[in-house]
Amino acid sequence: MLTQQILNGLVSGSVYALFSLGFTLIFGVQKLLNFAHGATFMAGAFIAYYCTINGLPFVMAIGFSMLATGLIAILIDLIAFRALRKRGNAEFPALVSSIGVDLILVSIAQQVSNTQVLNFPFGTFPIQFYDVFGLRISLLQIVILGVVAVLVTALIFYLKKTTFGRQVRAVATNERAAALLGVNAQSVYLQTFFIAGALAGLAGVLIGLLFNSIQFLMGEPYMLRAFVVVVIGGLGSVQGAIIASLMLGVAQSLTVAYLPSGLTDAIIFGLLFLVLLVRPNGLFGDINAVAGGTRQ
Amino acid sequence: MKIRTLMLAATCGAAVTAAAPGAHAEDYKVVILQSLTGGAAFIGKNVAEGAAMAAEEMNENGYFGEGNRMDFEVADDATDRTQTLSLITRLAADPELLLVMGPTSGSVAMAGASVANERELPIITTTNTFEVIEAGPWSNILTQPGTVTIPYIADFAAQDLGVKNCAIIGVKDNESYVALQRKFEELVQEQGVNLASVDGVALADSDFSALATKIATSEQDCVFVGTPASQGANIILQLKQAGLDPSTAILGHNAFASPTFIEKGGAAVEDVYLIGAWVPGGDGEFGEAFAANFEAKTGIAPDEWHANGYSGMQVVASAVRDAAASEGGATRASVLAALTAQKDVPVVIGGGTYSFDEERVPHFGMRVMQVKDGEFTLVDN
Repeated sequence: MLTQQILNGLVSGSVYALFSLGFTLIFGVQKLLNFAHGATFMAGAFIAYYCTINGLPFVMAIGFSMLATGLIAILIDLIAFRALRKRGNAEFPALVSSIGVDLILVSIAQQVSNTQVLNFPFGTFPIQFYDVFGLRISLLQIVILGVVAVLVTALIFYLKKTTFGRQVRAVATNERAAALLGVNAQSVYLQTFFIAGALAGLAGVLIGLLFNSIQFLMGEPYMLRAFVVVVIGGLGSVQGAIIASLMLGVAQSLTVAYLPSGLTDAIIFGLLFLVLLVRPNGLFGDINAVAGGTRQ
Repeated sequence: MKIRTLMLAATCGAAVTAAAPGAHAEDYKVVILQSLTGGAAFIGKNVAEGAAMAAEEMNENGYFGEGNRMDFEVADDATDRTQTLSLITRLAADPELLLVMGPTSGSVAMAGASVANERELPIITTTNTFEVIEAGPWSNILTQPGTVTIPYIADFAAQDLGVKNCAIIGVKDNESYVALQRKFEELVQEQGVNLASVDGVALADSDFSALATKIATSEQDCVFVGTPASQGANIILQLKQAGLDPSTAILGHNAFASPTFIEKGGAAVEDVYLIGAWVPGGDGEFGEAFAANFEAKTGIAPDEWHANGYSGMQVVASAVRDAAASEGGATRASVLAALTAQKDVPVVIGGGTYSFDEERVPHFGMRVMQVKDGEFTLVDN
């Protein structure tokens, strides 16, 4: 059972990674905690669901959903963050503003879904299981692991090796200096939000498909876990978020398997406290990123 | 036409007795206060829809006598204690208001119960927790507590199925579900059944892969899943995908008695045992008429909570009508007295009639059912 549970944890953790990357990306660039990220994730699942039941092929539904959630994230930036950013000292007002946007999106989803739990129609994705070295793994789990690995690699490449990535890191380090060097910070913000939204949307679709459940509150538990992930991984650290996501997924599976399941959250948040005590900036965090000292 | 005739037949007798000659038109004000938003909306919204439909039908059918009607409105407790306190305080200030049907869930209902007793406003909350009754004479419960319902499925598991070792999966963040789960554990243990494992999930959870693997790789001959219908279907689906022995009996409580359970679970929920106050599609003429009318009106088949709301309003209306016929007419005190004295009110749930006992505990019975060929079928036990 141990290896099966580790596999389960890695699959769950890989989707947490997809979700958390966008959250940490926005924090890394803007030093803002976007609490509407969970609602964007939920919106991704909803959009793909309604596209699918209205006859759009599933792959196209995923693409449309990622595009739509990317645009939703841009709208969130324009409506909830941009004006606050212009005034400076936006961290706390932006947090409140993002909670407001989250509530609006959740309320819309509740009305649209009539408070019902939705699920993709049976057969949306082939249900096939393989027994490999005593492990039971589904085709969907294999696809999810593969898709997440490709996307995470692509994102890291994009951030580290492309002009856009250099602009993102420049703005994250010092927006004013980056602007003096000709970087359009607004464009960087919009692109960052688009990527974060698209990743969250895809995570929503994958979770909705993997666990057969789409509902208006589905973003909340993931939002909490993403918060744990980015704190443990180091606020703003992409690599830290990925490793912390996988660790969280596996820890969660093992606590459910070997300890009373009611203790899962207590253990996860206990782990969070422990990490904060030993390494206040997270496992891979930069002290300046946490203190916001690089924002000028 | 037949359905309409049935609905008329169910109410016309009472309407004739209530329509006293020369009586002037009366409006009996009732507020349906349920969780239309927030965590308990999956219960409250459906209860409110069922209750509103019953009130509309009774007004159309002249249930309260010629010219008289129930003046009802629907309000949202938002699954929030502060909002509920504020709403009930405001509602209690309206002298025309006779009764509040709500709030929905336990902790919110408890908050509402304290204000209702302080302001002497009768409320009948959807929750089944005894604490609401114990809060004072003005606060009542609509649904049967676990002590009444769970014995139906616990006895069935231990006596009819003869299970010996049961894994339990419950909801850890809703006190009503926790109470039902604990009652099941207590009752089966009393009958010699061992608890293989006890696990709790949160209402918003959907990833049960770890839990499913743990149970599928353990030894048990029974799994009790005490969660809402959609979540339960999802848990069972993931249990089957994790390789649960097909001969393991899977049981659930009355929350599973919803078309959603079969719709979400598909083939995975085949053969699952459950209890239900509501037999989907209706059991008996009154229930069948309700199911047909509800589906015609809303486009969806009613579930357990719609049926509870519809039945609850039958009881409330019967109490209001009895109070109106009493000396002094319908007042908050007379409605409360009439409510807790209700016996054998025709309803669409359980055994078909609803009564309160001396301790103000509701009784309307439960049915044991099994999913067969994608439908709920009554089990002879």
